[in-house]
Amino acid sequence: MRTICILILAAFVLTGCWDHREIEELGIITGVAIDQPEDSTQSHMLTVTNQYVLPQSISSQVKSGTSGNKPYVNETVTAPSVLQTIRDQSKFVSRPPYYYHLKTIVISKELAESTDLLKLTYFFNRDHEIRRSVQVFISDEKAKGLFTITPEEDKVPSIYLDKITHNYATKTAEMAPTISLGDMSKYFSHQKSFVIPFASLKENAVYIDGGIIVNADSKKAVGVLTKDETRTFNWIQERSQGGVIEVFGLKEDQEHPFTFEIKKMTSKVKPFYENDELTYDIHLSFQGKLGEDWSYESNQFNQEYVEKLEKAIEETIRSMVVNSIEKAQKEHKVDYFELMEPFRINYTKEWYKVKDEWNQFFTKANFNIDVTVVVEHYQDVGRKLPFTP
Amino acid sequence: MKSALNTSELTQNQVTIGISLTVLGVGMITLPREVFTAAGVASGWVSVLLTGIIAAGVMLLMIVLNNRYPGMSYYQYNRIIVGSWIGGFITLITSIYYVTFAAFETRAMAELIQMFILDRTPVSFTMLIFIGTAVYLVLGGYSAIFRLFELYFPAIIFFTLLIMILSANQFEMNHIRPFFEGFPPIMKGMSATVLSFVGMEIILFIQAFMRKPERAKKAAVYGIAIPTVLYAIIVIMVGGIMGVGETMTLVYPLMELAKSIEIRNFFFERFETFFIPLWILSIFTTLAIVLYLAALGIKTVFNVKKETAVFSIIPIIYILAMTPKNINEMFTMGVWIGYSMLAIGVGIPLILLLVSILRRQKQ
Repeated sequence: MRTICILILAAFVLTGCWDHREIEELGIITGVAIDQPEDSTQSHMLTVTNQYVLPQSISSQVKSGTSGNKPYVNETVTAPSVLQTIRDQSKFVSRPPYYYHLKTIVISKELAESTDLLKLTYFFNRDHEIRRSVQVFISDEKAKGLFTITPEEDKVPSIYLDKITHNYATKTAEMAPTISLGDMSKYFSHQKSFVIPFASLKENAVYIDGGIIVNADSKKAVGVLTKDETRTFNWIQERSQGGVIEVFGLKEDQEHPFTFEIKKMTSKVKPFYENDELTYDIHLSFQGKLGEDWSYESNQFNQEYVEKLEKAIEETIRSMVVNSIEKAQKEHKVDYFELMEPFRINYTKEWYKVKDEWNQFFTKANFNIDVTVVVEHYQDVGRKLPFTP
Repeated sequence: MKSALNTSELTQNQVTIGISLTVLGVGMITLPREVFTAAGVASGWVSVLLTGIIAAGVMLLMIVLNNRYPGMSYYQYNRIIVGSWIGGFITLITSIYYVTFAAFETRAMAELIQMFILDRTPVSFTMLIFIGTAVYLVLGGYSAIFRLFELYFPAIIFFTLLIMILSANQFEMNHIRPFFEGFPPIMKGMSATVLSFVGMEIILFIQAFMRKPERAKKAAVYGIAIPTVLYAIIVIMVGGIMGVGETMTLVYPLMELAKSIEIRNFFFERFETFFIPLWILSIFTTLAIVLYLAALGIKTVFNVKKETAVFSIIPIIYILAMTPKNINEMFTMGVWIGYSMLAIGVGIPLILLLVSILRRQKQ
C-alpha cells in the first residue's frame, strides 16, 4: 500500500516538466540585424530585425523541389533597447523567440559609427541563450538588407552569411578575420582595437570584403580597411595562410604581370623600447609558388630569374605593408594590428604607464619592415618557350 | 576479524576520491574570476598551486591530530581534549557551519539550473528534489556515499578535461604572458583561492572510517592534489582563452568556456548541455558529504537517532538556502563560508592539536 502511494505521488511530482517547449512551436532565430531607425526623430532608438527560420518551408521545398515561399520571415521592431525590441515582438509574432541557434549579428555601418559597440552588444553577451560564437558583421548599407536576399545554396541569408566566413584564411587574405561576439567582448575588456568583417550587398549575394576598424577608446567604428590594408592586417597577425599577390612587371615599363600564390607565411614582431622611443622590427616571410607569369622571358629553371621575381614580390609586399602601417598611424590613428601585445609582454612595466593612451603612443612608433619571399616551386611548366626571345 | 568483503570501511582510493569531490564544488566554476580579480595578472594560476600545497600541509597536521586518537572522529575526540561542554559547543558550531555550507551548495545549484536549463521551474522545487536525493543518500551511511563518489569521479574528471581539450584550439599564449610579474600578485591571488578549497577538513572525520588509517596521509595528499591540479588547469585554460580582463567580467567563467566551444556542422553545437549535469554532480557530491557531517554533528551533540538528525536539518537548509535575495548575496555567503572554514575547519582543529600536545594526551 505504501509503495503504491509513493508511486502515485512520484507520477504526479516527477513527470511534469515546467519548461518543456514543442520544437515546432519555437520561433528559431538565426540572425539579428541592427539598424538606425529611418525616422530621424527616433535617433536614440534601435531598429532590430530578427530572422525567423521556418523549418516546414525548408523541408517542403526539398520534397517538392520548387522554390515557393521564402523559408524565413523577418520581423522588424524599433525600440530604445535591444531587449525591448525582443519583448515587443511577442506582441505580433505567434512563436516565442528562441535564440540558441543564433548565427549572425549584422550591424549597419551608420549605427556602428555613432553608437558605442560595447553597449550595443552587451545584451547579447549577457543573455545565456546566445552563444559566444555568434559571428558579427558590419554592413555597408542597411543591415536589414543583407537578410532579404535569397541565396541559392543556403536558403536562409543569416546561415549563408555564417558559412561564407568558413572560407576565410585558406582561400583569400582580403577578408578580415571572422569575429565572434565573444571575441569582441574580449577585445573590449583588454582595451584592444580590432577589425570586424565588412559585408556589402552586390546583386543577391553578400561580399565580405575588407574590414571596419573599431577603436578601443571610443568603442565605435572609425574607419574602413582597403584590400591592401586588410591583407597587411592578416599578414602581421599571421591570420591568413593563403591568397595571391599580383605584381605588374619586373621593370616599370614592362607590362607582364605575374602572380605569386602564398602557401605559408610567418610573421615575427619584435618591439624595442629605448629612450622613450618605440621601434618595431616586423619580419614577414612568405613561401609559395609562382602561379601565373605573363612575360615571355619566363624561365624558372634559371635561378637568377626566380630571384629577380622574388625581389619584385618582396618590394610589392613591403610597400603595401609600409603604406598600411603609415595610414594606421596617420589617418586612422588606431593600433588595430594588436601591436600592443608584444610590447605589453616584453615591456610590462612601461606598458602600465602608457596603456591608457596606447593609440597615441602607437602613432609615434617607428617600424623596420623586412620581407622575405621564397618561390619554392613553379608548378608543372618551368618556362614558356624553349628559346629565349 | 576483518573480512576483505567488509564494505563498511573505506579504502585509500575512496578517501582520495571523497576528498577530491568534496573540494570540487561551486568553487570550480567561479574560481578563475576570483583568482584573476584578486591577482590582476595571468600568473594567478601559480596561487592555486601554492594554496594547494599549503592545504596539503594543513591536512597532514590534521592527520597528526587524528593519529593521537585512533579510531575516533573529530566529533568524538574534541570532548576528550577540551571537555564535554566546550567539545559539545565545538561540535555544534561545526554542524552549523556544515548546514550553512549545504544550504549554499543547494542554492548555487538551484541558481545554475534556473539560469541555464529550467527557467520557469520554481527554485524551491529543484532545491527540494536536490536535498531529497542527498538525504536519501546520506541515510545510507558513509559507505554508500563514498561508493557513489567512486562512480561519479571518473565522469567528473573526464568531462572537465574534455571541455579543456575541446576548447584548446582557442588558446592564445599571449593572454597568459608575461608569465611572471612578481610575487605580490600571486600572494593576492592566494587569498581568493582559499574559498575553493573549502571541504578539505573532512579528513578529520573520515580517517576514523578507514580500513587502514595509516594510509590517510597518502590519501589526503592525493586527494588534495587532484583538485589542485584540476583547478590550475582550469585557471590556465580560462586565462588563455578568455584573457585576464575578460574573465573578470564573467559570472561563471568555466561555463562561458564550455559555451564558447564550437564544433561546426556537428551534433555537439551546444556542448554546455553536457557540462551542466557534470557541474550538478560535483555540487551534489559536496552537498551529500556536508549534509552527512552536519547530521553526524547533530546526532553527537543531542544524542538523537540518525534519522531524526538528518530530517531535522532539512528545513534549516531549505530556509538558509532561500535566504540570499540575489546572486550577489549568494556569492557573499560563499565568501563567509570560506572564512568560516578557516576558523572552524582549520583554526579550531589546529588549536585542539596544540592543546592536545600541551596536555600530553595520547591514546
